[in-house]
Parts: sequence; structure tokens; C-alpha cells
Amino acid sequence: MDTFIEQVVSGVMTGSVYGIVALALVMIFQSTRMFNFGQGEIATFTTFIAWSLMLHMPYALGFVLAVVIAFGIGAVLERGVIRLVEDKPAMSGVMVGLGLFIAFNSISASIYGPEPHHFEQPFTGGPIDIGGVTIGRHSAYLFGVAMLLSALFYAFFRYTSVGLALRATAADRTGAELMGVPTGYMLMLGWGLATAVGAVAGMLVAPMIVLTPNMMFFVLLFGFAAAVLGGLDSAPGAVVGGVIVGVTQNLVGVYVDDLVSALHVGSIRDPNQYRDIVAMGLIIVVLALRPRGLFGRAIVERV
Amino acid sequence: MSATRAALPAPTPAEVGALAFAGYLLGFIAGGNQGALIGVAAVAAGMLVTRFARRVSWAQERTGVAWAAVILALAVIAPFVAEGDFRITQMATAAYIAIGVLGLNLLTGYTGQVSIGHSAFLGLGGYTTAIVVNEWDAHFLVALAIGTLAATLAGVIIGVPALRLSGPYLAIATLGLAVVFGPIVKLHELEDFTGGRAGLNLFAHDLGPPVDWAWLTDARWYYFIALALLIVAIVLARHLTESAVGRSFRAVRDGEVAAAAAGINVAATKITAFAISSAYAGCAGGLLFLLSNRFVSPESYTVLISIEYLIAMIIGGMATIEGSLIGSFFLVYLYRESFDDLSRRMQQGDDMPLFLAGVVIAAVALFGSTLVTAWVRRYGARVHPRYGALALNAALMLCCLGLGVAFTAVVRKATEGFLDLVTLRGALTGMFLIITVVALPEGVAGMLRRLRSLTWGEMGSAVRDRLTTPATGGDPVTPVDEEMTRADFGPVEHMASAGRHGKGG
Repeated sequence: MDTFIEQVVSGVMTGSVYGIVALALVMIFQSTRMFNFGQGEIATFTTFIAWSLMLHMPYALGFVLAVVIAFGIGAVLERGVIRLVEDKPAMSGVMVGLGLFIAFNSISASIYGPEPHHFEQPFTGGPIDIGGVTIGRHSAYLFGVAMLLSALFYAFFRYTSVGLALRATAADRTGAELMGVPTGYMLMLGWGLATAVGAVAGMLVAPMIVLTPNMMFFVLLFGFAAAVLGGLDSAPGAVVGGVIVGVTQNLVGVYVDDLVSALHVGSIRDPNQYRDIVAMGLIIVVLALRPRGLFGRAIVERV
Repeated sequence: MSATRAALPAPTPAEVGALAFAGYLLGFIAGGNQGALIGVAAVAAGMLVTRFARRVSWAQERTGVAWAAVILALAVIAPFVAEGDFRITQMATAAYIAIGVLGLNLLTGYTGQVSIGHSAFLGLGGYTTAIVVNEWDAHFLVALAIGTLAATLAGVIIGVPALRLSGPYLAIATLGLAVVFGPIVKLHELEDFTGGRAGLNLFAHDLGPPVDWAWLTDARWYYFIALALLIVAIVLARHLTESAVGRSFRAVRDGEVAAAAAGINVAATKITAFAISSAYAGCAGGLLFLLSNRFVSPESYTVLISIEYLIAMIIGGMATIEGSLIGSFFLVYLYRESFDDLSRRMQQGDDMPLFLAGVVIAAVALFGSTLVTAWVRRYGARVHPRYGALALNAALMLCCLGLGVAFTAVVRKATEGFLDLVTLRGALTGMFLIITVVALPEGVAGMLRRLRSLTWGEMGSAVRDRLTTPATGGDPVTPVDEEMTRADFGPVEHMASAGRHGKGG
């Protein structure tokens, strides 16, 4: 039973990172109706920037500066690139996202090289023991930041007038414009915030898996899984989806063997190989059975 | 048709320049300095021939056939003049990629179903082919047929759940498919068949030509297999797209509800598109196995392959057959090769790269100017007529200058070993992809179609129109161009616009 709790807890911790990546994806999807396939690579790039900043300054300062730079990158991208395709078919958005993916991946690789970099951990030391369950210090920090970020975003969207304007822009662009909301700036702000969130996710993930140009690839995929699972227009759904994906991954890694032997269909040589398959299979199954996700609204197409 | 063609706007100098650049770079890669001159000359000659051909009415109808014949003749002669097996394999690679991109185009370009999962179908075809060869020692073509069939079946199976999804949702689901393929192949349980992580190496199997002719080397034999299959693929795709099935593809893309109202079975159409597209992908995957030294591994079929194919399709031109060919050439020669060649030549201390850098600067600037034009169109409502044009010109020159300086700096750094030029190809390709989507949605193929209406006077007026359009706010001069950039991602001559033009005439 202890293994079970430990696996669930550690799944929740990793899942919270997927959750905030999904949060960024959902924010962009809500405001511009596009899936930002470049999200992960932009986050990697800003994590590299943070890495080079942290060579010269303390962790906290580098962290904040990197988030600010990420915000700038996101806002500029929205203004300079995304706005040119906003009234084009959905496929253009997919292609621009893939273009950003390949461009930022290549920029990181050519500036910082393919070799792994060591990214600083703010809290070092042994694992913490809470009631018999051990948690890595960095996992706890990561979970804390993710939860704090989610709470901040919830408060921002719920209680501030800018948050309200952002929600209005996402819900009904023309209506918001008629009410005097500067929707152009709101879209820039939305992209900037989403990219900043992505950067935070990148900096949280980097110490766990080494910092390389391809670091965020699988994190982004699981972020997509989380976003789809939670429903693409639900921010809380994104975080919950992330946790579900994280926990599923961990439990599959531990229990798939037992499951298969219980079903008498043979034995499994390496249970961990099923983790990614199940996590990605989840996307396909959820999309096929319930395209709007667990918390999303049904998509109604007006003819 | 003729009405649509006549209404196509003239190409801009940026597009002509890009074409000349393409000829230059292809020639340079193929044969150094002399090749570069020949490449530019060939492009110029081709443009002149097309220019004069359009004055003669019968030639206007047959230019397509003439071009096809010339290209086919060149394709047959090419492996006998090419220097070494490497170049022949490279051409074969372009041919099989063209098959895959064509299949993707049938699904994504013609039917409007975005797929990032094509690498999985390629992988399925490749692995099935390899396994059949390995287990039963079958002839390659038999194995390839079985591989193609397996991919087709998978396409049908995937097509059914995909019916419920569209647009970006389908993109994500197919992305999941592409990512799952690698881990599934690596499963220990399947290791006996797939070779697991290490892949399946069939180098010992002789898949060479059945006859013992001295001129028919293995490389040439592979090339002719790929070429023959490509020709079959093109002919089939041509017939398909011009038949009722192809029309229902486009009808589903342009509006599912309208297509259903017109009596088209949308579900069956989508599944057909998935099946045919995966058949093309399976065939391409089998050829990929043959051409990569009879070796398959999970790394041969990563999701990057899907992304590359999408890039090739977009840059070549969606929903056009020639666009798929152009795109695959772009992929093989410009994306994969040119940067390797460029950095190698630079390491040798050749002074050519500086000149080449200049040309790349020009090309980037020309493409960039197209993007700037799009910006001005987007934000230009407040721009003064005359000074706006002046400002745009200034912006263009600054753009050229900035990009030129930036690129030279990158080249300098690359030669010093700080920057790896080869890795920067992704940045340039991503940029080209975005610019293509924004400013040239009809792709290179659409641009080439417009080259038919090239005269110097028209070219001048095209520039003038593009410069003055934002000032007037509207777009009074080139309505067709506007329609192409806004209304549809597809070719000009799809059903809807054909109908509109018909009514107008």
C-alpha cells in the first residue's frame, strides 16, 4: 500500500508540471483557437536563457528575468506572427505552431549545442518524510510552484478587471471589442502569460531531466494529453488533467505487470515501456469517446 | 478554368528571385560553381520558354504535358550522369518522399484532414516490408505490396475514430499516434519480429536487380523502382483528384455540412481519404527501408518525419500534385542537404560560401519582404498613401540589411566553431514555413502557376499594387489574390471558386 501512495504522490507532483503546461496550452487555445505546438520549444529556449543568466546571478533573479523575457517573446510572437494567421483556417495555425516548434528547437540547438546542461536546483538535500511517504525535495518545490501558479491564475482571471477582459476576449471577441476591451492587447497579454507559464514549467522540469534542446518534447505531449483530457476550454480541467496523466503514468509503470498476470495473458518484461504508450493512448481514447474532455463544453459548429 | 488562370495575379520580383535562387542553390549543390550557373540558366530558360509558349494558343494547353515529358526524360537520364551512388540514392529519396507527401496531400490538402501521424503509417509500411522480407525471404516488391496493404488497413482502422475529430483536435490525436509508434515497436514482446530498440538490419539480404546487366547497379535499380512507383502514384492521384471521389474530397474540405447536403457520404469520403493516403505512406515507408541500407529502426519513423512532410506539402503547395514533387525536392535538397554542403564547403576554406551567403541573404530578404508586405496589409489602414509606400521601402531595405548582417554574423560564428550551421536549418525552415503560410498560402506550386502570366509590365504593376494597396484600405486591384490569401488554403480552382467564376462569366 505504501508503494501505491508513494506512486500516487509522485505522480501528482510530476502531473502538476503537465498541468501547468496544459494551462498554458489552454490559455492560448481559448484566446486564439490554436494549439501552440511551439510551446515546449519556446519554454526550452527560455530555460536555456535562464541557465545562462544563472551563471551570473542567483537563482531567484535569473528565474524572474527569464519569465519576463518569456513574456516578451510570447507577446512579440502574437503581434508579429500569430495575428497574421488569426483569420485563416485552423490548418494555418497548426502549421505556424509546427514552424515555431522546429525554429525554436533549432535555435536552442545551434546556440547551446546538443550536449546536456546541468540546471541548478533551488533546494538540495535529502528527501522529506511526511507520514511514512518520502518526497523528493525538488518534487515538493515543483508541486508548490505549480499549485501557487494555478491559484494565482485563478485569482487573476476571477477577481481582476484585466482577467475579466481576457476572459471576455476569449469568449466573444467582437462583443468584447464593442464593450471597449482592447482585444489586440489582450491577445498579446494572453500569449505573453502563456509563454511565461511555459517558461516556469521548463525551469521546473530542467533539473529532473537534463537540459537539452529536446527536453520539453515529451513534457509538451503529456501537456497536450492533459489539456485534451481536461477539456480544452477549462483551465482547472487542464491542471486536473495533468495530475491524472501523471498518476496514470506512474501507476501503469508499477501495476501493469500485476494486471497482465492477473488476466493470464502472459508476462511483461519491462513495465516502464508501457508508460508512454498508455499516456498517449489516453489522448486518442479521450478524443474518440469524448472530444470535449472531462470538463470542457461541447463544441457546437454553426453552419 | 481559363477564367481562373487569366485572373491569377502576376508574380512579384520576390517570387522570381526566389525561383532563381532555388535554381542556383540546387545547381550549386549538384555541381559547384558551374552547376550553379547552369541552374540559374535553366530557370531563366524555363521562364522564357513558358513566357513565349503562352502566346501560342495550342502551346498554352500543352505546356503541362511538355514540362512533364522533359522532366521525365531528365529523371531517366539523371542516374547515368550523376556522380556516384550517393547522388542516385539522393534522387531516389526525393522520389519516395514525393510519394509520401503526395499521400499526405490527398488527405490534408484535398480532404482537409490534418495529420501529424503520417510517420506511423510510413513506419508500419516500412516495418511490414522488412518483416516480410526477413521472415519469408520474399521478393522486395511482394513485401512492399504487403506493407502497403497493411498501412491501408491501418488507415481504415484509424479513419473510423478520426471521423469524430476535425482541425486541431485531429492534429493532436494523430500526433499521439505518431508518438506511440516508436514505443510500440520497441516493446520487448515484439522484439523477435521488430528487432526492438536496435531495429531490423537486413543488409545481408540481396534486394538488387533480378538481371545481371552491368549498367544496372543496385543504386540505379532502387532509383528506378522508386521512380516507377512515383509515376504510378502521380497518375493515380491525378485520376483520383479529377474523378468524382476527388471532387467529394474537396467538397468535404470546403464544408462538411454542405457536402452532406449535396448527397456526399462524408464518413465514407474521409475513410477513403485516410485509406488512400496511408497506402501512399506505406509504400513510401517500404522504399525508405530499401533506401536506408535495408534497415529499419524506431528512429527512422519519428514524428519529425511527419512534420517534415507537412512542411514539404505546405511549401510545395497544398492540394496540387506538382506541389508535392516540389516540396519533396525542397526537403531533400534544400533542407537536408544544402546546409550539410554549405558547412562542409566552408570548412574546406572555399571562398564560394561568402558569395553563397550573399545569395542566401538576398533570398531571406526577398521572402522577408513578402512578410513585411503582409504586415503592412494587416496594419496598414493608418498608413499614408505616398509616405506609407516610402516607409515600406525603407523597412524593406532595413530588413535586407538587418538580415544580411545577422546572417553574415552567423556564418562567421559557424566558421569559428561557435555555432553549428547545420542545426540552424530548422530555424530557417521554420521561418520559411511561417512565411509561406502567411504570405504564400498557395505554396511554390501556386507561385509557379502565376509565373505563366509573367510580363515585365505586369510585374511592375504587381509591385505597385502591393505597395499602394494598404494605403487605400481596400484591395481594388487584385481581388483573386485576396481571395486566395483569406478564403481558402487550397488551390484557386476548387469547386466553390470555379462556380463563382462560372456565374460571373
